[in-house]
Amino acid sequence: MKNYDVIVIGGGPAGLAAAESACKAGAKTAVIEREARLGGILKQCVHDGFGLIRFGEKLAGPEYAERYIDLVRALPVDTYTLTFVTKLVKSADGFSVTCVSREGMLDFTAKSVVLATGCRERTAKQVLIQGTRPAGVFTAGTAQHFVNLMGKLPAKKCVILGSGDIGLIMARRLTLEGAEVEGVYEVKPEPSGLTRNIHQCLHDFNIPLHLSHTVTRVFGVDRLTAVEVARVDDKMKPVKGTERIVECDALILSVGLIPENELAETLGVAINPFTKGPDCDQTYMSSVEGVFSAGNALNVFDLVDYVSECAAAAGANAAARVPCGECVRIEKGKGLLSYVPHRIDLKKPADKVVFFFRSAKDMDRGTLRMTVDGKEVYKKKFAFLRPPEMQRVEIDFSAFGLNAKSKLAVELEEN
Amino acid sequence: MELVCIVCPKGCHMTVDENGAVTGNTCKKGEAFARSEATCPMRTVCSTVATAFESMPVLPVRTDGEIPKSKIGELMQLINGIRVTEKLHRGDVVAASVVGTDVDLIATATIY
Repeated sequence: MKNYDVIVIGGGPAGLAAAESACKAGAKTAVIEREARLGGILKQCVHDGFGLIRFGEKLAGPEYAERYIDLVRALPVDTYTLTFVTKLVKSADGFSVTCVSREGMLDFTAKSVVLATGCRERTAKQVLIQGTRPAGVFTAGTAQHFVNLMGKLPAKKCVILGSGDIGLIMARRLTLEGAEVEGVYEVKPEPSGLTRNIHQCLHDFNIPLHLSHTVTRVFGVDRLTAVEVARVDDKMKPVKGTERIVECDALILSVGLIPENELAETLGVAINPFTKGPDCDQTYMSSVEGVFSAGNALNVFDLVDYVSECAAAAGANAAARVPCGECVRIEKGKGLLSYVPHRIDLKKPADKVVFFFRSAKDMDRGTLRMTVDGKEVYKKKFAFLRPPEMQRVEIDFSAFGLNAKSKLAVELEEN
Repeated sequence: MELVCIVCPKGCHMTVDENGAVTGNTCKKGEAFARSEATCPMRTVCSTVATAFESMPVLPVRTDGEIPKSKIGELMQLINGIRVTEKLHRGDVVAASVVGTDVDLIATATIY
């Protein structure tokens, strides 16, 4: 049995940043990773664009991951790879963590834990596609694993459903590797991915983007032979008579990500309905004292630089173990899709809180406004707000004069 | 010419007029990108090359600068012909001065 101050579960970008900062804050720290190598999903994200904020350079995913691995390796952090957490239980003075590994069962204790378990892709079953069950229906991340880690091309001609960033990146990647991408189909009237990815991944390679379209059926017995696509109406229902059959040997799905929080749920951590990750305070502590959440397990980010930033704060806070006090919830008003944090703990520092948010819809101009008991205490104007593009702003909540009875609300007004 | 900036995730909507004047950008990098896009579009290319190592069959690579967009196809042909047999480290040059530019192709991971 080994005893730690902080155990970080997950060795991707969030886990690495959390471990680095926890260790630097003086905590005896361990990282537990189920895969053979640290780095998480960045290992297969061979495209560039990572690190502009964190390192001031445009790096490929593996480079960004290795830089963090080097930072962690230079510190006295214990890393356990090929190790899977099977049980996480709260004890009198912290947590007991049970794992399986090549050596068999491992038991640890920790005073605090950081859950940096990342997110999962939604699959074909979650978007209700009808038809047979042939091979050749992949999530974009699976296709990316085939191409970028195994060096295998999983399609000759494919259709991509969903315009999430990974789907767009894979449209370009598969095209570069010699596959034909017939088109990207998006059920919503606007693209889900970052604007720059629509341009550099689709427009650069003349790949058509069909908005308000979806895949309605798949065909094929052993292997996918074709899909049926159709236009959808404003209620996202397929329009009769607009169906078209597209012959292809792969359907690649980029239809959203869901934070992975099975472990958190076994501890009774409250999940926020808008981010689908743990409901957290300004130190990224969940509803269970001593359990912190970081990265895509907390909230699906679009920039790894922000993942590192939030995880570094979560790690430092897990090490510091600041006592908790009463919390004031940040009530969600109009115009917002989701945000982090969800509440302000009155006993913890609140002067430099990083507030991440997404708008509920496209807005050329919007004003983020905070009110306490109906009175405006903060406002800031933003330009070009889009739901796929998360915004970051630092807010001094300590200046709001909050007390346990305050009604704190946030809204985003279009103007 | 209207375009969307791809320099950073902000994705500014910009316009370049006939005299090369840029509007809509929010930084200098965006202005330079818009000018280059209107004359000779440049891109960083990321891909993978084959290796001789079973533990890591492909090594991720990128150009360490931008190459003309029109030369991406030529670069991919070069990339498809490469097979790495040495245990390269992140940042090592995989192919020097590719497709008639002074840009190198570098490893973006370390072979383990």
